[in-house]
Amino acid sequence: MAHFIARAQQMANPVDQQINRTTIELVYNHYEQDGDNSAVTGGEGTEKLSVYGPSATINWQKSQHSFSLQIGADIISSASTDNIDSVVSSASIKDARSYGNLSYARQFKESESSFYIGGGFSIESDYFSVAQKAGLLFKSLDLERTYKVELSLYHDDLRWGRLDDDSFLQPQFLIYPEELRTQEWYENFRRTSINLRTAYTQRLGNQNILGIFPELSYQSGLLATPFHRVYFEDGSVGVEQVPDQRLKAALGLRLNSALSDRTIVKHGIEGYTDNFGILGLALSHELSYQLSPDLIVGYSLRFFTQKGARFFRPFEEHELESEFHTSDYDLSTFNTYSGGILLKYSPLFFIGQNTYFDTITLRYRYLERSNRLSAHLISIAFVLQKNRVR
Amino acid sequence: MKRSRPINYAIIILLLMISSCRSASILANPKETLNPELEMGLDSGSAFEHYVFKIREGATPSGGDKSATGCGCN
Repeated sequence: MAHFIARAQQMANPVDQQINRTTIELVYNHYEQDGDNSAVTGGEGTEKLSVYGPSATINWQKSQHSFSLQIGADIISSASTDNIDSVVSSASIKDARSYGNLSYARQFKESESSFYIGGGFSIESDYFSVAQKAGLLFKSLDLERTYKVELSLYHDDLRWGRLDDDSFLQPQFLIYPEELRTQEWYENFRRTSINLRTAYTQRLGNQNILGIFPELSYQSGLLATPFHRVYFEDGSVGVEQVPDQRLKAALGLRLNSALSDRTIVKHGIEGYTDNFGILGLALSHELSYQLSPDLIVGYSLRFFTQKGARFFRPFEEHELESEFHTSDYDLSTFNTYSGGILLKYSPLFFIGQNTYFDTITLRYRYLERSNRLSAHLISIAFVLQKNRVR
Repeated sequence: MKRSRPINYAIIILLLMISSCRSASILANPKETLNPELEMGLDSGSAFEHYVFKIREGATPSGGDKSATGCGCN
C-alpha cells in the first residue's frame, strides 16, 4: 500500500497537493576508453583513459519554488596527457575536474509554466569555467504542448596551475607540449560560449510525444587545446591551430511512444553543422519494458556519422603553410556504433517517516568508432525522496 | 571478420524507428496522466552518455557543447 501512496504523491501536481519534496540523487559514472590516435601526440599514440565520476544532487521543492544543488568530481587517469612532457607517469597522468551547479526555479501561479536561473563552475588543472543560464518553460493550458527557451553563457580560462601545490588557485600559463615551450603560441587564453537552446514538445494522443530541439551556439577566443601537437609533412612539430570563432547549429527530433502499458520506445534523429566544416548525423533507438511494477529493463542503439573539419589531417600530413591544423580525431571523419542496456529498479523502500528509497538506475553502453577508438560507459544512480504533505 | 557497412547499421535503426511508431490518431485526453517514462527529459545516466558524445564527437547535437564545463581534452 505504501508503494502506491508514495507513487501517487510522486505523480501528483505538487502545487495542488502542497507537497514539500526533497530529492537526493547519488550518481557514479565510470568511463574507460582506448584508442591509438591521441591528439597530444599528433594523431598517433595511446588514448587510454579512465574517468571515475561521483556526484550528488539535492533538490528542494516547496510550493512554487525549487532549488537544486549539484556537486561532483571526475577523477581522470590519462595515458595521453602523460605525453605532454617526457616524464613518463608524471603528474599529468592524473587530473581531477570538480564542479558545482546551483539553480532556482519558480512556477507561475495558476499555471504549469515556470522560469529558472542558475550558475555553476568547473575547475581542473588546465581549465576553469564559470557558467550562467536562464530559461523559460511554457505549458499550454491543456498540457498538450510545451515551449522552452534557454540561454547559457560559459566563460572559460585555459591557463594551467590552479590545482598545483605551488600556485593553488593562481593560474600561471598555457601548458604546451614540453618541446614547444620556447614561445607563446596563442595571444588569448580565454574562451566564451553562448548557447541558445529551444524546445517544443507536442503530445500526440496519450501514447506519443514529439519533441523538436533547435540549438545555436557561438564560441570565441582560444578554441584550440594548447597541448595538442600537430606534425607537418617535413616532420616538424607545432601546436593545434583552429579558427577563433565557431558557430554551430543543431536540430534534434525525438519521438517517445508507448507501445503498450509496459513498453516504451524512444527515437531520436539529430543533425549538426558548423563553420569548421563538420557535418554530423545521429540516429538513436531505445526500448524499455516494465517487467514488474518495480523493474524496468531496456536497451539502446545509436549510430553517428560525421564529416570532419576541413583543416583536420592525420600525423605528418599537414602542410607547413596551412593557417589552421589539427590532428584531433574527434574532429575527423568517422562513424560511431554504440549499444547499451538499462536496468531501473523502483523499490519505494521506506527508510524513515515520509522518506523512501525511490529508484536505482543502471546504464551500460559500449561504443566503437570506425577509427578504432572504443569505450565503455557505466552509470549507476540512487534516488531518495522525502515528501511532506501540508 | 567482414565489418558491416555503416549504411546497414543506419537502416536497422531507421526500420526499428518506423516499425515501432504508435499511431497518433487516438485523441488526447489531457486529464489522463502521462506515463512518466514517456517524458523527454534525460535521467542522469543518459545525461552522462550525452556528455561523452559531446566530448568524443566534433559535432555536438542538441544538449550542450564540448568546451563547456570542462575541457574534454583527454
